Amino acid sequence: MGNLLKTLLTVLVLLLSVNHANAALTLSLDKKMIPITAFYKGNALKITGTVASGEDVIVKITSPLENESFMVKEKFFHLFWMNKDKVDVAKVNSVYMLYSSADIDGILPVAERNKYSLGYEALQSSVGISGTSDKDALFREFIKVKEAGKLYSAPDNKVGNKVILMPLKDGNNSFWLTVKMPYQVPIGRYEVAVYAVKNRSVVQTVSDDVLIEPVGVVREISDIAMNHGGVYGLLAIIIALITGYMVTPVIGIAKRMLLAAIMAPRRVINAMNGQLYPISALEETDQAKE
Amino acid sequence: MNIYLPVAHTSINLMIMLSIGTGIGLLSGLFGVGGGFLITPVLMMFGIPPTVAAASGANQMVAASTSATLTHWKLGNVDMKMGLYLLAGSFLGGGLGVQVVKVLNAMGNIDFVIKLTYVLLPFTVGGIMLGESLKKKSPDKGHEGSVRQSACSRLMGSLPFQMEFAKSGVRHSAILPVLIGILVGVLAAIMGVGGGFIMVPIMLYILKMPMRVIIGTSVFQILFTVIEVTFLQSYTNHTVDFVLALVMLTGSSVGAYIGTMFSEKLNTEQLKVLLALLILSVGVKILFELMSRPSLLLAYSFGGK
Repeated sequence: MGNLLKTLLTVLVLLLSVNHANAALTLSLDKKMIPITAFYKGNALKITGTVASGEDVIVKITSPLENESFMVKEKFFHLFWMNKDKVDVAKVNSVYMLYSSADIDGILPVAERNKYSLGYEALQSSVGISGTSDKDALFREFIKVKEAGKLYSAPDNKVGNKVILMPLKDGNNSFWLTVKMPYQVPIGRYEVAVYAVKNRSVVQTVSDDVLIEPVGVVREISDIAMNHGGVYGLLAIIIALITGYMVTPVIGIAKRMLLAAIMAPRRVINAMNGQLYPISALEETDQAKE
Repeated sequence: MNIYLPVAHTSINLMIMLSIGTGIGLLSGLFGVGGGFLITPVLMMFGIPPTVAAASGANQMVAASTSATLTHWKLGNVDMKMGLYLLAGSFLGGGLGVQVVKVLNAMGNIDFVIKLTYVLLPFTVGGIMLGESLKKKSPDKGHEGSVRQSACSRLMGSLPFQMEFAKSGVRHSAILPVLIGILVGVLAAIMGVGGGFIMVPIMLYILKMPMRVIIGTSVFQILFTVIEVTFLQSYTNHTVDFVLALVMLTGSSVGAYIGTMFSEKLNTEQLKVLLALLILSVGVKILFELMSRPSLLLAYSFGGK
Protein backbone atom coordinates (compact mmCIF):
# COMPACT_ATOMS: atom_id res chain seq x y z
CA MET A 1 0.00 0.00 0.00
CA GLY A 2 2.85 2.31 1.00
CA ASN A 3 4.72 1.48 -2.25
CA LEU A 4 1.61 2.12 -4.31
CA LEU A 5 1.10 5.49 -2.64
CA LYS A 6 4.77 6.35 -3.24
CA THR A 7 4.46 5.40 -6.94
CA LEU A 8 1.28 7.47 -7.36
CA LEU A 9 2.95 10.45 -5.72
CA THR A 10 6.00 10.09 -7.99
CA VAL A 11 3.78 9.94 -11.10
CA LEU A 12 1.85 12.99 -9.89
CA VAL A 13 5.07 14.94 -9.29
CA LEU A 14 6.39 13.94 -12.75
CA LEU A 15 3.12 14.92 -14.44
CA LEU A 16 3.12 18.27 -12.65
CA SER A 17 6.73 18.90 -13.61
CA VAL A 18 6.05 17.98 -17.27
CA ASN A 19 2.97 20.22 -17.30
CA HIS A 20 5.02 23.01 -15.83
CA ALA A 21 7.71 22.52 -18.48
CA ASN A 22 5.12 22.41 -21.29
CA ALA A 23 3.49 25.53 -19.97
CA ALA A 24 6.83 27.36 -20.06
CA LEU A 25 7.31 27.17 -23.85
CA THR A 26 4.48 28.70 -25.80
CA LEU A 27 4.22 29.92 -29.38
CA SER A 28 1.94 32.43 -31.01
CA LEU A 29 1.87 33.65 -34.65
CA ASP A 30 0.25 36.96 -35.51
CA LYS A 31 -1.33 35.37 -38.58
CA LYS A 32 -2.21 31.87 -39.68
CA MET A 33 -2.41 32.85 -43.33
CA ILE A 34 -0.39 35.28 -45.46
CA PRO A 35 -2.60 36.33 -48.40
CA ILE A 36 -1.00 37.01 -51.77
CA THR A 37 -2.87 40.03 -53.08
CA ALA A 38 -2.38 42.06 -56.28
CA PHE A 39 0.18 44.32 -54.57
CA TYR A 40 1.96 41.62 -52.55
CA LYS A 41 5.68 42.12 -52.01
CA GLY A 42 6.24 39.77 -49.11
CA ASN A 43 4.90 40.05 -45.60
CA ALA A 44 6.13 40.15 -42.02
CA LEU A 45 5.36 37.26 -39.68
CA LYS A 46 5.50 38.07 -35.96
CA ILE A 47 6.46 35.10 -33.83
CA THR A 48 6.03 35.48 -30.07
CA GLY A 49 5.83 33.23 -27.01
CA THR A 50 7.21 32.43 -23.59
CA VAL A 51 10.15 30.28 -22.49
CA ALA A 52 11.50 29.30 -19.06
CA SER A 53 14.13 31.57 -17.62
CA GLY A 54 17.68 30.51 -18.47
CA GLU A 55 16.67 28.80 -21.70
CA ASP A 56 17.61 29.92 -25.19
CA VAL A 57 15.22 29.89 -28.13
CA ILE A 58 15.72 28.68 -31.71
CA VAL A 59 13.07 29.31 -34.35
CA LYS A 60 13.01 27.30 -37.59
CA ILE A 61 10.67 27.93 -40.53
CA THR A 62 10.57 25.16 -43.12
CA SER A 63 8.57 23.85 -46.05
CA PRO A 64 7.84 20.10 -46.27
CA LEU A 65 10.68 17.83 -47.44
CA GLU A 66 10.87 17.26 -51.18
CA ASN A 67 13.28 16.30 -53.98
CA GLU A 68 14.84 18.97 -56.20
CA SER A 69 16.91 18.73 -59.40
CA PHE A 70 19.59 21.08 -60.64
CA MET A 71 21.89 21.49 -63.64
CA VAL A 72 25.58 22.04 -62.94
CA LYS A 73 27.25 24.77 -65.01
CA GLU A 74 30.68 23.86 -66.41
CA LYS A 75 33.08 25.38 -68.90
CA PHE A 76 32.78 23.93 -72.38
CA PHE A 77 35.88 23.86 -74.65
CA HIS A 78 37.55 26.20 -72.08
CA LEU A 79 35.39 28.96 -73.56
CA PHE A 80 31.68 28.89 -72.74
CA TRP A 81 29.81 28.16 -69.50
CA MET A 82 26.82 25.91 -70.00
CA ASN A 83 24.50 23.58 -68.09
CA LYS A 84 26.05 20.13 -68.21
CA ASP A 85 25.23 17.44 -65.66
CA LYS A 86 22.00 16.98 -63.75
CA VAL A 87 22.16 16.45 -59.98
CA ASP A 88 19.41 15.52 -57.55
CA VAL A 89 19.05 16.74 -53.99
CA ALA A 90 16.63 14.50 -52.10
CA LYS A 91 14.75 15.02 -48.83
CA VAL A 92 15.39 18.74 -48.67
CA ASN A 93 13.35 21.74 -47.59
CA SER A 94 12.60 24.14 -50.41
CA VAL A 95 12.48 26.89 -47.79
CA TYR A 96 14.62 26.92 -44.64
CA MET A 97 14.99 29.86 -42.24
CA LEU A 98 16.73 29.69 -38.89
CA TYR A 99 16.88 32.23 -36.07
CA SER A 100 18.02 32.01 -32.46
CA SER A 101 18.59 33.99 -29.30
CA ALA A 102 22.29 32.92 -29.23
CA ASP A 103 24.96 31.41 -31.46
CA ILE A 104 23.60 27.93 -32.20
CA ASP A 105 27.11 26.38 -32.42
CA GLY A 106 27.77 27.67 -28.92
CA ILE A 107 24.59 26.41 -27.28
CA LEU A 108 24.12 23.03 -28.98
CA PRO A 109 26.57 20.17 -29.77
CA VAL A 110 26.73 18.65 -33.26
CA ALA A 111 24.66 15.57 -32.33
CA GLU A 112 21.81 17.69 -31.03
CA ARG A 113 21.94 20.03 -34.05
CA ASN A 114 21.82 17.03 -36.40
CA LYS A 115 18.92 15.49 -34.48
CA TYR A 116 16.72 18.54 -35.05
CA SER A 117 18.23 19.67 -38.41
CA LEU A 118 19.42 22.97 -36.99
CA GLY A 119 21.92 24.70 -39.30
CA TYR A 120 23.38 24.00 -42.72
CA GLU A 121 25.81 21.34 -41.45
CA ALA A 122 22.95 19.41 -39.92
CA LEU A 123 20.95 19.83 -43.10
CA GLN A 124 23.84 18.47 -45.19
CA SER A 125 23.95 15.31 -43.10
CA SER A 126 20.27 14.60 -43.76
CA VAL A 127 19.90 15.36 -47.49
CA GLY A 128 20.68 12.86 -50.24
CA ILE A 129 22.83 14.17 -53.08
CA SER A 130 23.23 12.10 -56.24
CA GLY A 131 24.81 12.75 -59.63
CA THR A 132 28.15 14.12 -58.42
CA SER A 133 31.21 12.89 -56.57
CA ASP A 134 32.02 16.18 -54.81
CA LYS A 135 28.97 16.38 -52.57
CA ASP A 136 30.45 19.06 -50.26
CA ALA A 137 31.04 21.47 -53.14
CA LEU A 138 27.61 20.77 -54.55
CA PHE A 139 25.94 21.40 -51.19
CA ARG A 140 27.77 24.74 -50.91
CA GLU A 141 26.48 25.74 -54.35
CA PHE A 142 23.00 24.53 -53.40
CA ILE A 143 23.04 26.85 -50.36
CA LYS A 144 24.26 29.73 -52.55
CA VAL A 145 21.38 29.21 -54.99
CA LYS A 146 18.87 29.05 -52.13
CA GLU A 147 20.26 32.13 -50.38
CA ALA A 148 20.32 34.08 -53.66
CA GLY A 149 16.65 33.20 -54.07
CA LYS A 150 15.99 34.34 -50.46
CA LEU A 151 14.64 30.89 -49.61
CA TYR A 152 17.35 29.96 -47.10
CA SER A 153 18.79 31.98 -44.25
CA ALA A 154 21.06 30.66 -41.54
CA PRO A 155 24.52 32.02 -42.29
CA ASP A 156 27.18 29.84 -40.65
CA ASN A 157 24.77 29.12 -37.77
CA LYS A 158 25.77 32.48 -36.30
CA VAL A 159 22.33 33.97 -36.16
CA GLY A 160 22.35 34.98 -32.51
CA ASN A 161 20.41 37.96 -31.21
CA LYS A 162 17.74 37.67 -33.82
CA VAL A 163 15.26 36.27 -31.30
CA ILE A 164 14.72 38.81 -28.51
CA LEU A 165 14.28 37.56 -24.93
CA MET A 166 12.67 39.69 -22.20
CA PRO A 167 12.05 38.70 -18.55
CA LEU A 168 8.47 38.36 -17.33
CA LYS A 169 7.14 38.88 -13.80
CA ASP A 170 6.38 35.14 -13.37
CA GLY A 171 10.06 34.26 -13.76
CA ASN A 172 9.76 33.10 -17.39
CA ASN A 173 11.00 34.99 -20.43
CA SER A 174 9.00 36.23 -23.34
CA PHE A 175 10.52 35.94 -26.81
CA TRP A 176 9.68 37.60 -30.10
CA LEU A 177 10.91 37.67 -33.62
CA THR A 178 9.70 39.38 -36.78
CA VAL A 179 10.48 37.39 -39.90
CA LYS A 180 10.26 39.07 -43.28
CA MET A 181 8.72 36.44 -45.53
CA PRO A 182 9.98 37.56 -48.97
CA TYR A 183 7.75 37.33 -52.04
CA GLN A 184 10.10 34.67 -53.36
CA VAL A 185 8.79 32.19 -50.76
CA PRO A 186 6.39 30.08 -52.82
CA ILE A 187 2.73 29.34 -52.14
CA GLY A 188 2.36 26.59 -49.52
CA ARG A 189 2.16 25.62 -45.87
CA TYR A 190 5.18 26.26 -43.66
CA GLU A 191 6.01 24.88 -40.25
CA VAL A 192 7.21 27.29 -37.58
CA ALA A 193 9.05 25.23 -34.95
CA VAL A 194 10.42 26.68 -31.70
CA TYR A 195 13.10 24.88 -29.67
CA ALA A 196 13.88 25.67 -26.02
CA VAL A 197 17.58 25.01 -25.33
CA LYS A 198 19.19 24.50 -21.94
CA ASN A 199 22.46 22.90 -20.83
CA ARG A 200 23.48 22.14 -24.46
CA SER A 201 20.33 20.19 -25.30
CA VAL A 202 16.86 20.82 -26.65
CA VAL A 203 14.51 20.51 -23.67
CA GLN A 204 11.23 21.30 -25.35
CA THR A 205 9.72 22.02 -28.74
CA VAL A 206 6.49 23.50 -29.96
CA SER A 207 5.28 24.20 -33.50
CA ASP A 208 2.54 25.80 -35.56
CA ASP A 209 1.73 26.33 -39.25
CA VAL A 210 1.44 29.34 -41.50
CA LEU A 211 -0.11 29.24 -44.95
CA ILE A 212 0.88 31.43 -47.90
CA GLU A 213 -1.78 31.46 -50.62
CA PRO A 214 -3.13 33.72 -53.36
CA VAL A 215 -6.48 35.43 -52.87
CA GLY A 216 -8.88 37.51 -54.96
CA VAL A 217 -7.90 38.49 -58.47
CA VAL A 218 -4.44 36.86 -58.20
CA ARG A 219 -6.08 33.52 -57.42
CA GLU A 220 -8.66 33.95 -60.23
CA ILE A 221 -6.03 34.71 -62.90
CA SER A 222 -3.76 31.92 -61.69
CA ASP A 223 -6.63 29.40 -61.76
CA ILE A 224 -7.75 30.36 -65.30
CA ALA A 225 -4.15 30.24 -66.59
CA MET A 226 -3.56 26.78 -65.14
CA ASN A 227 -6.96 25.17 -65.76
CA HIS A 228 -8.28 26.89 -68.91
CA GLY A 229 -5.14 27.63 -70.93
CA GLY A 230 -6.94 28.02 -74.28
CA VAL A 231 -9.49 30.54 -72.99
CA TYR A 232 -6.77 32.38 -71.08
CA GLY A 233 -4.60 32.56 -74.22
CA LEU A 234 -7.46 33.92 -76.35
CA LEU A 235 -8.32 36.52 -73.70
CA ALA A 236 -4.66 37.58 -73.47
CA ILE A 237 -4.51 37.99 -77.28
CA ILE A 238 -7.82 39.89 -77.55
CA ILE A 239 -6.92 42.33 -74.77
CA ALA A 240 -3.46 42.89 -76.28
CA LEU A 241 -5.04 43.52 -79.73
CA ILE A 242 -7.55 45.99 -78.26
CA THR A 243 -4.80 47.79 -76.32
CA GLY A 244 -2.65 48.02 -79.45
CA TYR A 245 -5.65 49.24 -81.47
CA MET A 246 -6.69 51.84 -78.88
CA VAL A 247 -3.28 53.31 -78.20
CA THR A 248 -3.14 55.58 -81.28
CA PRO A 249 -6.51 57.33 -80.70
CA VAL A 250 -5.84 57.50 -76.94
CA ILE A 251 -2.49 59.21 -77.55
CA GLY A 252 -4.20 61.54 -80.03
CA ILE A 253 -6.76 62.54 -77.37
CA ALA A 254 -3.97 62.99 -74.82
CA LYS A 255 -2.11 65.28 -77.26
CA ARG A 256 -5.23 67.43 -77.80
CA MET A 257 -5.83 67.64 -74.04
CA LEU A 258 -2.22 68.68 -73.50
CA LEU A 259 -2.55 71.35 -76.16
CA ALA A 260 -5.77 72.65 -74.58
CA ALA A 261 -4.05 72.73 -71.16
CA ILE A 262 -1.15 74.76 -72.62
CA MET A 263 -3.53 77.16 -74.34
CA ALA A 264 -5.86 77.73 -71.37
CA PRO A 265 -3.61 80.22 -69.45
CA ARG A 266 -3.11 82.26 -72.63
CA ARG A 267 -6.87 82.51 -73.14
CA VAL A 268 -7.31 83.69 -69.57
CA ILE A 269 -4.58 86.33 -69.98
CA ASN A 270 -6.02 87.49 -73.28
CA ALA A 271 -9.52 87.64 -71.82
CA MET A 272 -8.21 89.71 -68.90
CA ASN A 273 -6.56 92.10 -71.38
CA GLY A 274 -9.82 92.40 -73.24
CA GLN A 275 -8.27 90.81 -76.33
CA LEU A 276 -10.14 87.54 -76.44
CA TYR A 277 -9.33 85.82 -79.68
CA PRO A 278 -11.29 82.92 -81.06
CA ILE A 279 -9.65 79.55 -80.32
CA SER A 280 -9.15 78.82 -84.02
CA ALA A 281 -7.11 82.01 -84.36
CA LEU A 282 -4.83 80.95 -81.48
CA GLU A 283 -4.38 77.49 -82.98
CA GLU A 284 -3.54 79.01 -86.35
CA THR A 285 -0.97 81.26 -84.66
CA ASP A 286 0.60 78.23 -82.91
CA GLN A 287 0.70 76.25 -86.13
CA ALA A 288 2.32 79.16 -87.91
CA LYS A 289 4.96 79.36 -85.15
CA GLU A 290 5.69 75.63 -85.46
CA MET B 1 4.74 50.36 -56.13
CA ASN B 2 5.02 46.61 -56.50
CA ILE B 3 2.55 44.25 -58.12
CA TYR B 4 2.38 40.47 -57.86
CA LEU B 5 2.47 38.34 -61.01
CA PRO B 6 0.01 35.45 -60.69
CA VAL B 7 1.71 33.08 -63.16
CA ALA B 8 5.38 34.05 -62.68
CA HIS B 9 4.75 34.02 -58.89
CA THR B 10 7.00 36.97 -58.29
CA SER B 11 6.64 40.63 -57.34
CA ILE B 12 7.84 43.44 -59.62
CA ASN B 13 8.20 47.21 -59.45
CA LEU B 14 5.46 48.70 -61.61
CA MET B 15 7.35 51.83 -62.71
CA ILE B 16 10.47 49.91 -63.72
CA MET B 17 8.44 47.46 -65.80
CA LEU B 18 6.47 50.29 -67.46
CA SER B 19 9.75 52.00 -68.37
CA ILE B 20 11.18 48.78 -69.83
CA GLY B 21 7.97 48.28 -71.82
CA THR B 22 8.16 51.83 -73.18
CA GLY B 23 11.82 51.42 -74.14
CA ILE B 24 11.19 48.15 -75.97
CA GLY B 25 8.08 49.57 -77.69
CA LEU B 26 10.18 52.52 -78.86
CA LEU B 27 12.64 50.14 -80.52
CA SER B 28 9.76 48.18 -82.02
CA GLY B 29 8.28 51.24 -83.70
CA LEU B 30 11.65 52.69 -84.66
CA PHE B 31 13.25 49.64 -86.26
CA GLY B 32 10.33 47.33 -87.03
CA VAL B 33 11.65 44.66 -84.67
CA GLY B 34 9.22 43.09 -82.19
CA GLY B 35 11.68 43.44 -79.34
CA GLY B 36 11.54 39.72 -78.47
CA PHE B 37 15.30 39.35 -78.57
CA LEU B 38 15.55 42.17 -76.00
CA ILE B 39 12.54 41.51 -73.81
CA THR B 40 13.36 37.95 -72.73
CA PRO B 41 16.88 38.70 -71.41
CA VAL B 42 15.67 41.93 -69.74
CA LEU B 43 12.78 40.22 -67.92
CA MET B 44 15.10 37.42 -66.82
CA MET B 45 17.42 40.05 -65.35
CA PHE B 46 14.50 41.10 -63.13
CA GLY B 47 13.92 37.59 -61.79
CA ILE B 48 11.17 36.43 -64.14
CA PRO B 49 11.55 32.70 -64.99
CA PRO B 50 12.85 32.29 -68.58
CA THR B 51 9.81 30.37 -69.83
CA VAL B 52 7.39 32.98 -68.43
CA ALA B 53 9.59 35.82 -69.74
CA ALA B 54 9.55 34.46 -73.30
CA ALA B 55 5.82 33.66 -73.34
CA SER B 56 4.69 36.92 -71.69
CA GLY B 57 7.07 38.83 -73.94
CA ALA B 58 5.25 37.38 -76.95
CA ASN B 59 1.92 38.46 -75.43
CA GLN B 60 3.06 42.06 -74.94
CA MET B 61 4.47 42.09 -78.47
CA VAL B 62 0.94 41.44 -79.77
CA ALA B 63 -0.08 44.91 -78.54
CA ALA B 64 3.15 46.62 -79.63
CA SER B 65 2.97 45.03 -83.09
CA THR B 66 -0.75 45.88 -83.46
CA SER B 67 -0.07 49.52 -82.68
CA ALA B 68 2.98 49.64 -84.97
CA THR B 69 1.22 47.73 -87.80
CA LEU B 70 -1.78 50.09 -87.72
CA THR B 71 0.43 53.17 -87.76
CA HIS B 72 2.56 51.81 -90.63
CA TRP B 73 -0.59 50.70 -92.44
CA LYS B 74 -1.98 54.25 -92.31
CA LEU B 75 1.36 55.57 -93.56
CA GLY B 76 1.17 53.09 -96.46
CA ASN B 77 4.26 51.18 -95.33
CA VAL B 78 2.89 47.60 -95.33
CA ASP B 79 3.44 45.43 -98.40
CA MET B 80 0.51 43.07 -97.83
CA LYS B 81 1.39 40.73 -100.71
CA MET B 82 4.99 40.27 -99.56
CA GLY B 83 3.85 40.02 -95.93
CA LEU B 84 1.45 37.16 -96.67
CA TYR B 85 4.09 35.16 -98.57
CA LEU B 86 6.57 35.68 -95.73
CA LEU B 87 3.91 34.76 -93.18
CA ALA B 88 3.08 31.51 -94.99
CA GLY B 89 6.74 30.60 -94.90
CA SER B 90 7.26 31.57 -91.28
CA PHE B 91 4.25 29.49 -90.16
CA LEU B 92 5.74 26.46 -91.95
CA GLY B 93 9.18 27.27 -90.56
CA GLY B 94 7.78 27.68 -87.07
CA GLY B 95 6.36 24.14 -87.18
CA LEU B 96 9.67 22.82 -88.49
CA GLY B 97 11.58 24.78 -85.85
CA VAL B 98 9.53 23.25 -83.04
CA GLN B 99 10.61 19.80 -84.27
CA VAL B 100 14.27 20.94 -84.37
CA VAL B 101 13.92 22.15 -80.77
CA LYS B 102 12.45 18.77 -79.79
CA VAL B 103 15.41 16.89 -81.29
CA LEU B 104 17.96 19.24 -79.69
CA ASN B 105 16.15 18.96 -76.37
CA ALA B 106 16.33 15.17 -76.51
CA MET B 107 20.07 15.46 -77.17
CA GLY B 108 20.41 17.74 -74.10
CA ASN B 109 22.04 20.60 -76.01
CA ILE B 110 19.18 23.04 -76.45
CA ASP B 111 20.49 25.60 -73.92
CA PHE B 112 23.86 25.87 -75.60
CA VAL B 113 22.42 26.02 -79.13
CA ILE B 114 19.98 28.79 -78.21
CA LYS B 115 22.68 30.89 -76.59
CA LEU B 116 25.13 30.28 -79.42
CA THR B 117 22.45 31.29 -81.92
CA TYR B 118 21.93 34.47 -79.90
CA VAL B 119 25.65 35.21 -80.31
CA LEU B 120 26.31 34.11 -83.90
CA LEU B 121 23.23 35.53 -85.55
CA PRO B 122 23.36 39.05 -84.10
CA PHE B 123 27.07 39.24 -84.98
CA THR B 124 26.47 38.08 -88.56
CA VAL B 125 23.35 40.15 -89.19
CA GLY B 126 24.51 43.25 -87.28
CA GLY B 127 28.00 43.04 -88.77
CA ILE B 128 26.73 42.82 -92.36
CA MET B 129 24.30 45.71 -91.80
CA LEU B 130 26.93 47.92 -90.23
CA GLY B 131 29.46 47.03 -92.92
CA GLU B 132 26.98 47.82 -95.74
CA SER B 133 25.97 51.12 -94.15
CA LEU B 134 29.56 52.23 -93.67
CA LYS B 135 30.54 51.06 -97.18
CA LYS B 136 27.80 53.23 -98.72
CA LYS B 137 29.37 56.27 -97.15
CA SER B 138 32.57 55.76 -99.15
CA PRO B 139 32.25 57.10 -102.74
CA ASP B 140 33.86 54.10 -104.57
CA LYS B 141 31.83 50.90 -104.12
CA GLY B 142 34.29 48.79 -106.13
CA HIS B 143 33.87 46.55 -109.13
CA GLU B 144 34.01 43.19 -107.30
CA GLY B 145 30.92 43.98 -105.21
CA SER B 146 28.77 44.79 -108.20
CA VAL B 147 29.79 41.55 -109.97
CA ARG B 148 28.88 39.50 -106.85
CA GLN B 149 25.60 41.38 -106.55
CA SER B 150 24.66 40.73 -110.16
CA ALA B 151 25.38 36.99 -109.77
CA CYS B 152 23.07 36.84 -106.76
CA SER B 153 20.41 38.83 -108.64
CA ARG B 154 20.71 36.47 -111.65
CA LEU B 155 20.15 33.45 -109.38
CA MET B 156 17.05 35.01 -107.82
CA GLY B 157 15.82 36.07 -111.23
CA SER B 158 16.09 32.51 -112.58
CA LEU B 159 13.61 31.14 -109.99
CA PRO B 160 10.06 30.37 -111.26
CA PHE B 161 6.81 32.17 -110.23
CA GLN B 162 8.25 35.65 -110.74
CA MET B 163 5.81 38.38 -109.72
CA GLU B 164 5.59 42.09 -109.06
CA PHE B 165 5.46 43.40 -105.52
CA ALA B 166 4.11 46.83 -106.39
CA LYS B 167 4.23 48.37 -102.90
CA SER B 168 7.92 47.52 -102.51
CA GLY B 169 8.69 48.25 -106.16
CA VAL B 170 10.54 44.94 -106.62
CA ARG B 171 10.10 41.81 -108.75
CA HIS B 172 10.86 38.41 -107.21
CA SER B 173 9.88 34.77 -107.39
CA ALA B 174 7.10 33.88 -104.89
CA ILE B 175 9.37 31.05 -103.72
CA LEU B 176 11.90 33.52 -102.35
CA PRO B 177 9.79 35.14 -99.59
CA VAL B 178 8.34 31.74 -98.65
CA LEU B 179 11.85 30.25 -98.30
CA ILE B 180 12.97 33.28 -96.29
CA GLY B 181 9.84 32.94 -94.14
CA ILE B 182 10.69 29.28 -93.44
CA LEU B 183 14.27 30.18 -92.44
CA VAL B 184 13.01 32.96 -90.17
CA GLY B 185 10.33 30.68 -88.71
CA VAL B 186 12.89 27.98 -87.83
CA LEU B 187 15.22 30.51 -86.19
CA ALA B 188 12.30 32.22 -84.43
CA ALA B 189 11.18 28.91 -82.91
CA ILE B 190 14.71 28.14 -81.68
CA MET B 191 15.30 31.62 -80.31
CA GLY B 192 11.76 32.21 -79.04
CA VAL B 193 11.32 35.57 -80.76
CA GLY B 194 9.08 37.10 -83.45
CA GLY B 195 11.94 37.17 -85.94
CA GLY B 196 11.98 40.88 -86.79
CA PHE B 197 15.69 41.36 -86.34
CA ILE B 198 16.37 38.53 -88.78
CA MET B 199 13.64 39.53 -91.20
CA VAL B 200 14.60 43.21 -91.53
CA PRO B 201 18.16 42.67 -92.84
CA ILE B 202 16.99 39.87 -95.17
CA MET B 203 14.30 42.09 -96.71
CA LEU B 204 16.83 44.89 -97.00
CA TYR B 205 19.79 43.04 -98.52
CA ILE B 206 18.21 40.08 -100.31
CA LEU B 207 14.75 41.27 -101.30
CA LYS B 208 16.06 44.84 -101.88
CA MET B 209 12.91 46.38 -100.42
CA PRO B 210 12.87 50.05 -99.36
CA MET B 211 13.51 50.55 -95.62
CA ARG B 212 10.12 52.06 -94.70
CA VAL B 213 8.16 49.26 -96.39
CA ILE B 214 10.46 46.74 -94.69
CA ILE B 215 9.59 48.06 -91.24
CA GLY B 216 5.83 48.08 -91.89
CA THR B 217 5.86 44.61 -93.47
CA SER B 218 8.09 43.24 -90.71
CA VAL B 219 5.77 44.36 -87.87
CA PHE B 220 2.81 42.96 -89.84
CA GLN B 221 4.50 39.54 -90.02
CA ILE B 222 5.59 39.72 -86.37
CA LEU B 223 2.02 40.44 -85.24
CA PHE B 224 0.76 37.10 -86.55
CA THR B 225 3.79 35.17 -85.33
CA VAL B 226 3.42 36.44 -81.73
CA ILE B 227 -0.35 35.77 -81.75
CA GLU B 228 0.42 32.14 -82.62
CA VAL B 229 3.16 31.91 -79.96
CA THR B 230 0.97 33.49 -77.23
CA PHE B 231 -1.85 31.03 -77.83
CA LEU B 232 0.40 27.96 -78.00
CA GLN B 233 2.31 28.97 -74.85
CA SER B 234 -0.93 29.61 -72.91
CA TYR B 235 -2.53 26.40 -74.07
CA THR B 236 0.38 23.99 -73.72
CA ASN B 237 2.81 25.43 -71.16
CA HIS B 238 0.64 27.84 -69.07
CA THR B 239 3.53 30.28 -69.04
CA VAL B 240 1.87 33.50 -70.24
CA ASP B 241 1.64 35.94 -67.33
CA PHE B 242 -1.12 38.24 -68.43
CA VAL B 243 -0.50 40.82 -65.66
CA LEU B 244 3.16 41.11 -66.66
CA ALA B 245 2.17 41.35 -70.32
CA LEU B 246 -0.45 44.03 -69.52
CA VAL B 247 2.11 46.18 -67.69
CA MET B 248 4.65 45.74 -70.47
CA LEU B 249 2.15 46.30 -73.27
CA THR B 250 0.86 49.52 -71.69
CA GLY B 251 4.38 50.92 -71.84
CA SER B 252 5.28 49.31 -75.15
CA SER B 253 2.18 50.53 -76.99
CA VAL B 254 3.02 54.13 -76.15
CA GLY B 255 6.70 53.49 -76.95
CA ALA B 256 5.86 51.89 -80.31
CA TYR B 257 3.70 54.87 -81.29
CA ILE B 258 6.46 57.33 -80.46
CA GLY B 259 9.06 55.11 -82.16
CA THR B 260 7.05 54.97 -85.39
CA MET B 261 6.74 58.77 -85.42
CA PHE B 262 10.51 59.10 -84.96
CA SER B 263 11.22 56.54 -87.70
CA GLU B 264 9.54 58.96 -90.14
CA LYS B 265 11.94 61.73 -89.12
CA LEU B 266 15.22 59.76 -89.05
CA ASN B 267 16.90 58.99 -92.36
CA THR B 268 17.25 55.40 -93.58
CA GLU B 269 21.02 55.17 -93.13
CA GLN B 270 20.79 56.38 -89.52
CA LEU B 271 18.11 53.74 -88.84
CA LYS B 272 20.27 50.98 -90.33
CA VAL B 273 23.35 51.95 -88.33
CA LEU B 274 21.35 52.19 -85.10
CA LEU B 275 19.68 48.81 -85.67
CA ALA B 276 23.03 47.20 -86.50
CA LEU B 277 24.55 48.59 -83.29
CA LEU B 278 21.56 47.39 -81.26
CA ILE B 279 21.78 43.87 -82.71
CA LEU B 280 25.55 43.76 -82.14
CA SER B 281 25.19 44.93 -78.53
CA VAL B 282 22.77 42.07 -77.76
CA GLY B 283 25.29 39.63 -79.23
CA VAL B 284 28.15 41.12 -77.21
CA LYS B 285 26.11 40.93 -73.99
CA ILE B 286 25.22 37.25 -74.48
CA LEU B 287 28.78 36.37 -75.53
CA PHE B 288 30.07 38.05 -72.36
CA GLU B 289 27.54 36.10 -70.27
CA LEU B 290 28.54 32.81 -71.91
CA MET B 291 32.24 33.38 -71.29
CA SER B 292 32.21 34.83 -67.76
CA ARG B 293 32.08 32.59 -64.74
CA PRO B 294 28.49 32.68 -63.41
CA SER B 295 27.97 33.69 -59.78
CA LEU B 296 25.83 30.58 -59.27
CA LEU B 297 27.07 27.27 -60.65
CA LEU B 298 23.72 25.54 -60.20
CA ALA B 299 20.47 26.20 -62.02
CA TYR B 300 17.05 24.73 -61.30
CA SER B 301 16.29 21.87 -63.63
CA PHE B 302 12.84 21.50 -65.23
CA GLY B 303 10.52 20.05 -62.64
CA GLY B 304 13.05 20.79 -59.95
CA LYS B 305 11.31 23.77 -58.41
